[in-house]
Amino acid sequence: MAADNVLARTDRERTVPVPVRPGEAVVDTRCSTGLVEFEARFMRLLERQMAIYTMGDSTSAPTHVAADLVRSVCFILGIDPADPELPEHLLSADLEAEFRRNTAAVEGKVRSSATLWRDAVTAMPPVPNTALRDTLAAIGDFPGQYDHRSMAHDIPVTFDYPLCDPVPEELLGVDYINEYLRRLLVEFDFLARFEPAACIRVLDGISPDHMDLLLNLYEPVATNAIGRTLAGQDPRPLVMSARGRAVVVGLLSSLDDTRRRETLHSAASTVCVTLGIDDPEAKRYMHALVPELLPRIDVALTHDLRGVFV
Amino acid sequence: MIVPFSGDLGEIRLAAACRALESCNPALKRHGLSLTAADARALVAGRAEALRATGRIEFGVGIVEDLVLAFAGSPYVSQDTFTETVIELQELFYEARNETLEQIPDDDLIARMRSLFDEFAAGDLDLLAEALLDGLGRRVRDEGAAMNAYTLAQHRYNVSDWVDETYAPAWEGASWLDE
Repeated sequence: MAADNVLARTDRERTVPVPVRPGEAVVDTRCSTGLVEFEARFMRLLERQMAIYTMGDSTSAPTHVAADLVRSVCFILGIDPADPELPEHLLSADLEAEFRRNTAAVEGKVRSSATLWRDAVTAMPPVPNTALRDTLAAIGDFPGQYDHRSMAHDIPVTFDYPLCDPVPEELLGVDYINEYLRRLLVEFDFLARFEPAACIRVLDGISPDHMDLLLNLYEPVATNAIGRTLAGQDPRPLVMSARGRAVVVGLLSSLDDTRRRETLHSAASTVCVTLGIDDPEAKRYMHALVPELLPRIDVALTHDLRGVFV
Repeated sequence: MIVPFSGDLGEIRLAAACRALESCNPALKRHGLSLTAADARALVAGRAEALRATGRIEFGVGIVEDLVLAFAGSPYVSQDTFTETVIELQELFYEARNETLEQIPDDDLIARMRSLFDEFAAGDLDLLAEALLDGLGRRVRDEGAAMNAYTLAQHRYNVSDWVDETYAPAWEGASWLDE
């Protein structure tokens, strides 16, 4: 199909909202002449990107490739596919210059990702976990695999290791990688505040095969730290005794949902204070665990909270 | 995905594409051919249909102008059949790009089409399609398959290396962290 009929062809594309619909909502609120000019500039940019992608060999590409090129250009220009409105400044901007500037910014982010990756490898906790090791190795290859000129929205990494608080799916390309690494560093910093042997004891309590499971390391350790705090103990040894669990059951079973949530948030704050965690992102990360913990506690209260605090 | 164009731009682009095709007329005149505005519109519409049929997207003016200029000198086209022939050639072109796995650049593919059209097919579009899709396309795919087999063989060799290294007895005192 010609470019003026670039329509959804795959199921995935049908579910992706239209990133640029200048003929519809935007045209109602803005000068349609400016919009037509934007469209013409956008087309010239796409034409050039196609030439770069095919190394001048072709003016056309299969639909899925062309769709990826468009997504990449949108990512670089900061056009949100979910937003029917275009960023105001783009309507009158020199798109080629804007594209060059933003591409340079993406290159800077790729350099940051290399730094973040080195930090993560250095801070990796001495707790065996195959998924974590493989994921970090894969991210190490990211700068070489990432085609920021033509497929900037792409995330050419397989993530085996699940984060406790996953990266929002709206983030794409290098933004996703950098956010993943930032969150991973928050987790590593937290884990570094405990003895590795204590962390491994907690993981052993979950499964003797924890090394080969797709298991987040932060979540069970942070959960036990909160549990020990609820039981009035220092969180650092991490071990949760039957007596400690009984104390927590006694405390939480008498509370309604709201009070239970408040108590858990309060315990999370206490853990941060006790461990000397000042970073607001690290505190937010710890508190993000509470909503995940509540339904598990609801279910496990009748079983002495076994399986939650191990 | 993206539907970049309001009606205005569609019209503007159509007019530009038609103007570009009509600008070929001085060159076509040397071969006793010409394109009217209606011919140009038919070619542009044929291009959109060909791209739709072959599942491809093209940014910019595209290859129709190149096809027009490349085939104008063929002894097997005449003013009566020229537009119709180029419309069919467009679809064959995009189909051939798919079948040759994007391995042949546009210019080379057009040159090969012209050569096959004149020398093998003698102006018969069915024969040209056969030569392009079954002949050229198959050859490129076979070359690709041979390359894949070679790569796979190399990969197997590397996998063997990996297995040897991975399952070699660990030295005394080795730990998981040394891997």
